[in-house]
Amino acid sequence: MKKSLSAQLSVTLVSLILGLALAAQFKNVQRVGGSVSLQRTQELTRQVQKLEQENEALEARIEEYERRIKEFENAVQSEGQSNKLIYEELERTRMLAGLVDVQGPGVVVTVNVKYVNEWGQDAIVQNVRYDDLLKLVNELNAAGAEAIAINDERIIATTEIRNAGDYIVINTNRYSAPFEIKAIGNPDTLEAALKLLGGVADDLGVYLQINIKRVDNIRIPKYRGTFQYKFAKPVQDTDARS
Amino acid sequence: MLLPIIGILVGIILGLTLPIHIPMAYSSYMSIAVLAALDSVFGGIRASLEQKFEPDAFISGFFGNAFLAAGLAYIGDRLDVPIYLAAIFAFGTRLFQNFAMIRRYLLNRWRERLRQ
Repeated sequence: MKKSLSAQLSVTLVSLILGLALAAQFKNVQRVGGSVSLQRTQELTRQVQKLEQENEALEARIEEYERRIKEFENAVQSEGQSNKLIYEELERTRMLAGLVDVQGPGVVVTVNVKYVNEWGQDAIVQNVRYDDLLKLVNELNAAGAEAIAINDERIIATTEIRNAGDYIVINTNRYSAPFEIKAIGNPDTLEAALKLLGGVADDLGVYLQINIKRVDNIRIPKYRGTFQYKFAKPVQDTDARS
Repeated sequence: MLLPIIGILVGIILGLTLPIHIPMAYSSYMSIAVLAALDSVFGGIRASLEQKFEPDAFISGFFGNAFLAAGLAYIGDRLDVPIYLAAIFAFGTRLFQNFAMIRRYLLNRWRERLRQ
C-alpha cells in the first residue's frame, strides 16, 4: 500500500510538470501568435544580407564616381589661372551643398530615450520623434551652424527627417535612438541657443535625454547620396523675370 | 488513476495563472520537456498496469531523459544542427509504443471481463 502511494505521488508530480509545461507553451504560442517558421526566418535573413551587399556595392560605385569627378577637376585646375578661380568657386559651392567632409569646432548633441521606473519596470517615457530632431536642427541652423549631421548623415537642402514605423529615416537611411547630432559653428552660440531658458533643450528634456557637449574639433562627413533634377531647371533668360 | 489527472489539471491552472513567460527561442526546449513528461506519464501508466512500477526508476527516468534531451537540444543549438529532433523522435516513438501496450492491456482485461 505504501509503495502504491509513493507511485501515485511520483506520477502526480510528473503530471504536474507536464501540465505546467503545456500551459506555459500554450500561453507562449497565444502571446507570440505561433512560431515564425525557420525557413521563413532564413529566407528573410538571406534577403537582408543580399540587400546589404547590394547597398555596399552601390556605395562603392558612388565613391568611384566621386573620385572620377575629382580627377576631372584636378585636370581642369592644372590648366590655368582662370580655371583655378572656377575650381575655388566650385569647391565653395560643394562645401555649401554638403558634398565635402568638413571639420571644425562645434557641439555634439546626443538624444536618447528617457526611462522611468514604473512599478518596478523600466519604461520609456516617449520614443524620439522626427519633429524632436527637426526642432534641434532648426535651432542649430538658426544659431549659425555651418554643417550639421545626424548619426553621420549630413543634413543638406533635400534631407528628409521623417518617421517610418519604429525608425526615423534620414537621407533614406533608417535610424533609431540614440541619435548624435554634430554641428559645426561657434560652440558658445550653438550651446547657448539650445540651452536657452524655455528653449529646445528644456522642451525636449521633459521626455528625452538630451546631452550637449562642446567639442574643439568635429569631423562631419559629406552627403553620401546622389542628386537628380528631373523637374527643376535653371532660368536662363534673366529678362524673363517678372 | 485519479491523482495524475488532478496533477495535470493543477499544473495547467498554475501555468495559466502564474506569470511565467518563456522566450520563443526556448520553444524547442519546451517541446522536449512536454514530450519527456508525456513519455514518462505513459510509461508510468503502462508499468503500473503491468504491476512493474518502481517510483525511483520512474522519477530518475523522467529527470534523466529530460536533462539528456535538453543537453542534446543545447548542443544542437550551438552547432546549428537540429539534434533535438532526435529526442522528439525517440520520445514520440516510445509514446506510441507505450500507448499501444496500454491499449492492449486494457482490451485484454475487458475481454476477460466479458467472458466471465
